[in-house]
Amino acid sequence: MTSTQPTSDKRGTTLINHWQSGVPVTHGPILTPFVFFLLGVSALGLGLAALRFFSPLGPFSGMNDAYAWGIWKTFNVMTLTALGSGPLALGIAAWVFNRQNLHVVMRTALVSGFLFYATGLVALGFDIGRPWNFYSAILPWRWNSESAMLEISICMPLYCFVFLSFEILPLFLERLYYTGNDKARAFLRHFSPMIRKAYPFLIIGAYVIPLMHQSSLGGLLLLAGTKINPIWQSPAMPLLYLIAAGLCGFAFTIFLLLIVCLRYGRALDADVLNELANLLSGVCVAFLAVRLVDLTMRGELHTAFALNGMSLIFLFESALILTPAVALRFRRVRETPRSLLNMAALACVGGTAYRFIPTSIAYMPPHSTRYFPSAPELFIAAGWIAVGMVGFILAINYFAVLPGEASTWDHTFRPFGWPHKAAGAAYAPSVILERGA
Amino acid sequence: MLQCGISRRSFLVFCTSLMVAAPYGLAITDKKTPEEVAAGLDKVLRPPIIWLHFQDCTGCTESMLQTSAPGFADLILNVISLEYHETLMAGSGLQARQALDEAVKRYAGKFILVVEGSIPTKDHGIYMKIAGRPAMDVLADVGGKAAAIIAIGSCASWGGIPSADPDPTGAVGVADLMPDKSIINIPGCPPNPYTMLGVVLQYAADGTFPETDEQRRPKFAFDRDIHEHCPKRAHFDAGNFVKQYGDEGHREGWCLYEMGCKGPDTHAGCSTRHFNEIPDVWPIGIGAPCIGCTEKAVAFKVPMFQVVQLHTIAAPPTAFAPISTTYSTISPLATGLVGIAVGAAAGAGYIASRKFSRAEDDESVPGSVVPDNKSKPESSDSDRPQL
Repeated sequence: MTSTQPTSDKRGTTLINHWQSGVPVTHGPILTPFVFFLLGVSALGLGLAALRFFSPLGPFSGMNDAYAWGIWKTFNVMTLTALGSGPLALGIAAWVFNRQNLHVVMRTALVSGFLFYATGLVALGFDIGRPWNFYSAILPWRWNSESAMLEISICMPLYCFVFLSFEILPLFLERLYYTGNDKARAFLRHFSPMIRKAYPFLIIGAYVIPLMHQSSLGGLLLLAGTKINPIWQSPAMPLLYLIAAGLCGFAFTIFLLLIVCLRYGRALDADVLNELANLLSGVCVAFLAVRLVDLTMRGELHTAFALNGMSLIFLFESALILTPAVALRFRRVRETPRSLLNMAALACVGGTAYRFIPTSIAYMPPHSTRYFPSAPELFIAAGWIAVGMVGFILAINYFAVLPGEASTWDHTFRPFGWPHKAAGAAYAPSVILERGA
Repeated sequence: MLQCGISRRSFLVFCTSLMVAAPYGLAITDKKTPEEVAAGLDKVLRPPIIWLHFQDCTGCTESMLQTSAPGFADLILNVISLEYHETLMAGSGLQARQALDEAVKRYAGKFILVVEGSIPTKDHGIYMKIAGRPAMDVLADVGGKAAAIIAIGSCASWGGIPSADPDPTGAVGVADLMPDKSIINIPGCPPNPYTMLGVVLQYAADGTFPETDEQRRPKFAFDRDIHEHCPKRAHFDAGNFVKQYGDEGHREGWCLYEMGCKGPDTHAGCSTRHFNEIPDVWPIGIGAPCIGCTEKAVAFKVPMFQVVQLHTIAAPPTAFAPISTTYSTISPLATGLVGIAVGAAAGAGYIASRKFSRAEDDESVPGSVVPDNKSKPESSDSDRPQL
């Protein structure tokens, strides 16, 4: 990366992280019927979530003494943060393995990852039996250092609300720069070189910390011991959870990019998608290899292929990951958008299935009871997802998130609040946006 | 030893009673041989004790009389030499006065003074007199010559009940009048007799006093708070609180925190050493909240039923969601919703996938390297922000 001084004359560069790129959506209405539908779902979910504080968890949710982890934990946190690991997966590939062209789609991954983490963590607050003690998590002298949950409960908010937030801070500053008044602009001109200098060092945390908590999620399930079916219960679970996070991260980023670019008529860089698909297939292969070695070494292969209920679930889940692993090896599949979308979707479902199954379907405590989320529980879970989707739609409309062609970079941010007065003509694209480092 | 007036028999009896008393905080348990014990015993033999009553209710003495290991008679006849105790002595009037004067004269600088009750200071201490002399003067006279002072009960420690608002007599504790003296406070109303026994027997054994905290209370009995070892702690953690005396929770033995129990603020061993050697004989054990009688700032200062602020642990809320053990059922509505959601997601995925293949004829689809802005639906200019 080269250091470019953002001056008032070089309008074309992004403010801080010029190696990324983004162009906001400037056409079409924001509040489409689909957004209204999502707002309705989230309003219903949030209303029910507020109601949860006035009702005990027992009657309100489907949880009971044997199944203390409902879908808010198992789906919104343990499963959806895998989909939200796009920043982790792409960032590791881009920063550590120097795949520099991946920086172009980094912002899409960052925003989606942040929303998955944030909504999951807020949902967790409603799942906690004694939410009034939640604030103790920020008081280190109240930490229980013996608890396996501690690592996750400290690490996840730290990642989401400190490091990931810092990584997406340029989005907000850019918007402020191009829509704010002269004073704000002068301040940012002075301030952003400092952020740019600190940026590579501070985001180290954004790539170290998720490695910790994504594997700790698998570590938590190790503690469940024999309650989890032997096909899934394994000492390799922390590693597999981490690989599954990378798998879902790549797959969901491809999926999301294809969907939003279809929706907003954006052209995508085929090379970037090709590279992502390549990486995805590699991660899928790695995941299946670890899975196979693990099953073999534990001597559970016969259980996995016994063709009973659990075995069929395992085979289905593995097939969902094996298909993209094989198909994406072919250049023709990688370069056909439709098949790429299908394969990415399969990998998403397969990866999330691996994350979800040991927490609920293969989780069988020795009590004659069962768990199925109740309707309010489902509405709340869906409500948080809808909040995240609305957040994403607003983000791509108001901030420079989606990748775009350099020639389309014109800083035409949608105004919010009051119609502001900006010298529009002065910001005509004059300098081509840099790509990569 | 014979020269000191101790027969072999009395020495053995003494040793035996000390061994019995050993679990109560004695420092002789690590001494292996009789010679070592004898060497320790050489320092102090049957320490003389003078016990003074001031503004008290004699509850502390009553509490002491209930001990059985060693029994009180054994204690005063074999272990210590009780020179003066107004409740227990046979003499009265001039006889008693002479006994006190003689004992103070004979053991000056050697005896232990035990004070029970607070000392009035208002109006030159005229509110309490012994043989015509104010309590303040008696304490200054006797206490000045004592080797050490043990203040038993909350009254002698820092004023206790007599010092409660409006405090008509200006009652204070011993340490307030003689701050430089070697003083052990054993607060409580009444204190557990074994705390007193532990202090006295340790002194009898090797002439030392136990380690004390900043309020001069022996640490072996006062270093933990009631809440830490309260038998009802599980109810506290589970949120089971008595709301009213005699309600269902009270009869079930739930936590008395919301009835104003001062357990979380009170340092004392009551929750582990019950009174009269009968299990559960202590305030919380019989269903009454702790009033914090061993704390200077709590008992007789804070209203008895006021809920205390918690400092070391998070305060529970006033209302808990009830704990339910009903097992969930699978509702058709929920399964239907999941089915609809999964179906909708799959359908939407299929439609999106089909759109791709339809759009493949265009140049505008994602994946094509050349962007073609003409083919995508151009929105009107009014959608653009007004720049």
